[in-house]
Amino acid sequence: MSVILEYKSISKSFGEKQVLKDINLQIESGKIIGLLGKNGSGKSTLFKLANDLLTPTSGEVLVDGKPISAETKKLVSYLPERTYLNASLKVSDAIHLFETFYEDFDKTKAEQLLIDLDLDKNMRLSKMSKGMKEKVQLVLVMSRKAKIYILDEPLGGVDPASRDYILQTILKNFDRESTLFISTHLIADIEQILDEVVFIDDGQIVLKDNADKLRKEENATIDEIFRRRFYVR
Amino acid sequence: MLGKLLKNDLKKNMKWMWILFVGTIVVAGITRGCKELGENIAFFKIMGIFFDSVFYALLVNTILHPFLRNFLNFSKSLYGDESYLTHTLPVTKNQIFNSKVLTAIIEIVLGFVSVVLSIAIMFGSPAFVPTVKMLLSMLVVGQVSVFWSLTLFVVLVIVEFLMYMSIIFFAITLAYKEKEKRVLRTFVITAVLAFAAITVLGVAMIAVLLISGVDISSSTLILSSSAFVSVLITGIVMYIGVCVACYFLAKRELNKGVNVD
Repeated sequence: MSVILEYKSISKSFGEKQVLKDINLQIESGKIIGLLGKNGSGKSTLFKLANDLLTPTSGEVLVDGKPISAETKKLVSYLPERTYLNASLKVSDAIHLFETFYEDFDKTKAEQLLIDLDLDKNMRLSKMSKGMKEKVQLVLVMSRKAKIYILDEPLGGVDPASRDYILQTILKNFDRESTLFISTHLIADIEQILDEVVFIDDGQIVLKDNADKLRKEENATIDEIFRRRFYVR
Repeated sequence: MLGKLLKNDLKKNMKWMWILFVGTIVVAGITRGCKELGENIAFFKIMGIFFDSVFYALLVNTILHPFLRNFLNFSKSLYGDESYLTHTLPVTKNQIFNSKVLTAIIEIVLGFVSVVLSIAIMFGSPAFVPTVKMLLSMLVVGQVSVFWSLTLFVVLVIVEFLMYMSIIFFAITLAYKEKEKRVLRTFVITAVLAFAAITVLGVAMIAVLLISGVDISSSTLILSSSAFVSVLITGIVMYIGVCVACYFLAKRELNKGVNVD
C-alpha cells in the first residue's frame, strides 16, 4: 500500500513550549486511521501541519510523496475542529465556493447530503447553530473525491442522536481507495470503523497498530485500551 | 486561480461597499439640489443643512471604509478562523496575497473615484477653476495647469493610502508570526514603519526643494511651477517605492509559512 501522508522528524514549538517532538509517522492509503489522545496531546497540531496551517519548527510533511503545495492541497479534504466559513454566506454560497475551487467537488452529492441531514441550502450560516454549521462543513468536506480526508473531531459539537447518522454519512461517502484520518474524544463511537489506531501523548506517537490486532492482544476495546494507557477514569 | 480568489474577495467586500460609494454620489447630488433650491424655499434650506452633514459623514466613510475593511479582511482570512479555508484551498500563498493586494487597490481607488465625483457634483461650478487657480497662485509662481495639479494631488493621496495599506499588510505578516499580542505588535510595527516612511519622504522633499533653488528658511514658501510638480511627483514615487518594498517583504514573510491559532 502506498503512503499518502508522511511526517518526517516533525517537531513543533510555540515559543518555549514544544508541542510535537520528533514525530515520524506514515499514513497508508485505503485505510481508516484514528488519531487518539488526550486534550493538548498534539492531535490538532499534527493535522494543521498537514494542511499548511502551521509551519514545522523542524522536519517535513509529505502528501503523496510531495512537500505541501497548492498541488497537494487538491488531494486533501480537511475538516477542522472549528467553524471557518464566513457567517454571512448562505449554504448555497458555500457550496458554490467549494465548487469553484475544488475540481473534485460533487455539487449533486452535497445537495443530497444537505437534504439527508435536514439542512436548508438557502439558510445563512449566521442563523445556524454550531452543530448545524459543523454539519454543513462536513457535507462540504465529504462531497469531495479526495485522496485523504482529515477529520478533526467531526462529532464534537453534534448531538448524540446525530452522531450515528454522521458516522454513516462519513462512511457512505468515503471511497475505500481513499484514506480517512480522524481524531475524536468519542472513541467508543468510532472504534468499530477503525482499521488502525495511532495514540499520541505529550507530542509523541506512543502507539501505532492495527485496531483488530490490538483488541485481540489486549482483550479489550480500543476505548478501554486508551483509558488504561492514559490512566483516565 | 488568482482570478477566482479575486472575484471571491471582491464579492465578499463589495457586497455592501458599493452602496456606500454610490450613496455618497447620490447624496452629493441631493445636497447640491437642496442647497440650490434652499436659496428660495426654507424647507430645502433645512434639508440642505441636514444632507450636508450626511454628505460629509459619507465622504469620510467612503475614504476610511475600504481601508479598514481590507485591513480586517486580510487579518481574518489569513490568520483568523477563515484562514482554515484560505490556506487549504488549492492555491499558492502568492496568489492569496496578490488577491488581497489587488482587492485593496481596487476598493481604495473606487472609493476615491466616488469621493472625487461627489465633490465635483457638490462643488462643481464655472467658478471652481478660477478659485483653484487663485489658491495655487498663493503657493506657486508661474503657469501651472489646474487639471494636472489636481490630478497629481489626488494620485498622491491615493498612493499615500495604498502605502499605509501595504505597511499594514507587511506589519500583519510580521506580527502574526508570534502567538501573543498580535494586534498590539501590528500597531507598533505599522507606526514605526509609517513614521520611517514619512521621515524619509520629508527629507526627500526638502532635498527636491533645495535642488529647485527654493529658500526653505523663508516664512512664506513660494514654489516655482516646476518645483511644485517635482514635489508632488517625488511624493508619488516615494509612496509607490514603499508600497513595492512592503509588497515584496510581506510576500516573502507569508511564503515562509503561517501559524494559525
